[in-house]
Amino acid sequence: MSTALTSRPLADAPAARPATLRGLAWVVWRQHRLTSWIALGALLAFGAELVWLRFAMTSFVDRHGLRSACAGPEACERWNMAVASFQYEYADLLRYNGLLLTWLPLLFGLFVAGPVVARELETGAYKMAWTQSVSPVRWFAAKLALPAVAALAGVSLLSALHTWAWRSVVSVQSGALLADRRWFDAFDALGAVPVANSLAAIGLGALVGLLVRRVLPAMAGTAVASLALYWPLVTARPHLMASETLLDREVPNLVGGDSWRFERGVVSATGRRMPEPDCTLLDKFRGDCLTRHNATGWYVDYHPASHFWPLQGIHTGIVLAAGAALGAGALWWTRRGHR
Amino acid sequence: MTELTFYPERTALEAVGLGVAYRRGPALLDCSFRVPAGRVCALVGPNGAGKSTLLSVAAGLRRPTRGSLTVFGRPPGAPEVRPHVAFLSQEKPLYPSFTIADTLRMGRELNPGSWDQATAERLVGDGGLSPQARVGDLSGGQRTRVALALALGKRPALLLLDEPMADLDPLARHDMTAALMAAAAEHAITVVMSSHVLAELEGVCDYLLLIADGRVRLAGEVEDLLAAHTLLVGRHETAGPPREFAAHTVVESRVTGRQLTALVRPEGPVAGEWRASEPSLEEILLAHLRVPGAPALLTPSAEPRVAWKKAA
Repeated sequence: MSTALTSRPLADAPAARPATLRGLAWVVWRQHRLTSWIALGALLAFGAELVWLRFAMTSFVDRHGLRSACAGPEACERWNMAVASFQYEYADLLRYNGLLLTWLPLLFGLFVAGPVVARELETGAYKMAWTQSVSPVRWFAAKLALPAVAALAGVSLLSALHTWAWRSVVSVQSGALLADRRWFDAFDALGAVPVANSLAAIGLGALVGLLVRRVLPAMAGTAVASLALYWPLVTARPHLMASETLLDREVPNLVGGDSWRFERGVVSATGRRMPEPDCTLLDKFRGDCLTRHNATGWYVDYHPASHFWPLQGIHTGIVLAAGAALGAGALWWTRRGHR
Repeated sequence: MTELTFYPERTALEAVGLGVAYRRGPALLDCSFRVPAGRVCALVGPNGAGKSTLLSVAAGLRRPTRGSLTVFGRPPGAPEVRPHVAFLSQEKPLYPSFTIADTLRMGRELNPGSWDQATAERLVGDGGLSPQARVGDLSGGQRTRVALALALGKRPALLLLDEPMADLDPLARHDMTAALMAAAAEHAITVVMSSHVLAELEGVCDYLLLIADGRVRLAGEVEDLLAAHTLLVGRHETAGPPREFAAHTVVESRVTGRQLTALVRPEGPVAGEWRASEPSLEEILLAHLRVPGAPALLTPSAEPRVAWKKAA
């Protein structure tokens, strides 16, 4: 009997057909065609803006000679005005670009949770889609592949452009131009992190969409779950790899050039640490704080700038693993209830 | 699937001890039945009887909690049967942003190897629908037509229809039923269609499955079910059922004044002075729904074969 059922000839060979999308890929593309075109337009506009920003910033820096130190009070006044003008004109813009890139993964999560997954379940369209010849698991995998490809290609491009623009000015005058956008401030918008975050958000959105089965609650649930899962990771970030420590008799500054100083406190002779001891500002400078806490000196834990890429790698690995687990969970859930 | 034409004794659907439970309670309880291939089977029962649940399980959208249901001998949704089963659910879901042409193309893309564009286009064209019309702009009846075109374009061996004609006007219902029956006859499709409106199915179906409260009450050929029942009318003045009924299965008996009307399954000639007549299908169904305690009746072809084997 099984032979009778399976011995149907396969589709007519794709002879002289032009290279178009076939099968599931076509259906998923057709379903999200409008969103895809809008996303492509936004990608191109955002990308072009980043390229423009990069050249606008470097040409401003060169025009005002900001790469070299100023000489003389008059020149320094002009120099200061130029820095202020740069921050007003470009630094804020760069920061907003970075924030957009930081939150872009959430957009992927919301899109997958609502329009891609939950809408099928809410409208009952899955009853049609899942009773065709392709299995629900394959159908579901195709639905996730479209945003995953978009994230891999689009977010990679944007993140690369943003990193490129950021690097062109971040080291000018040891960071004076981008005082609040150091590598540890802009971490979530640099390198591979936005891409990994987007992929993980797709996995999370898929799972939440499947479980919640309604568009708006699924999107809200994804937003809440994203923040709930991301917050601990951000908190744990300084401890993802061994940091370095600076010991000093004097109170060390929390701002330290290129390095990310994330914890300060006093340390006793036995090596016991007390982060941010309860000292008044005056105490700190008089040194009484040390005697009162029976401490021998101050310490600062920090990551030098050379830790940027290792930290990026660790973060990316964790997030990708979590995203893969969430995506696998979504596929397992589809398989469990159906096939 | 012309193979099916030559094997009328093949089994399209077979349930053994099938049970499905939702969180709020059971929808199907210990259902056992068989639907042979090549039949047009009516799945009837009151609202909430479990008809949609049964069809969802057969379509592979829901897994049974207990027991089993097989489609052509395989679990529903198995790769071997998936291309041969089409399902049209009650709400006729389609993608509203697709045009009709897009919807049919989707059928082609998702059913490589079996898609019959001509059949699907003919069904849509007969309804006077333009391929460029958006599905979201169609009326309920037009949507049903497109959904049916998608289901028939798959060239299924088994077509599962859940309340297919519910939102159609009488004329469209007549047209669609005719189109459906023509396609079923032409391609030897086994059809299982549910409805709580018997009139929709009478004269169309040659097989019947009555479900009430999650249980199978009647199953088998319509002709055989009709032949198995007799409507008896006569005078009866003493209390309690007439003695001569004891040898037969009484489905329902009602007394109006001195006249007793009974639907029985006679096990032989009925003694006494009773006027016997063949009941209508509706009378049989209503009697079984009014008397939940009446024993279920499965004709031999509706007995699951798997259960026979186990019993032997």
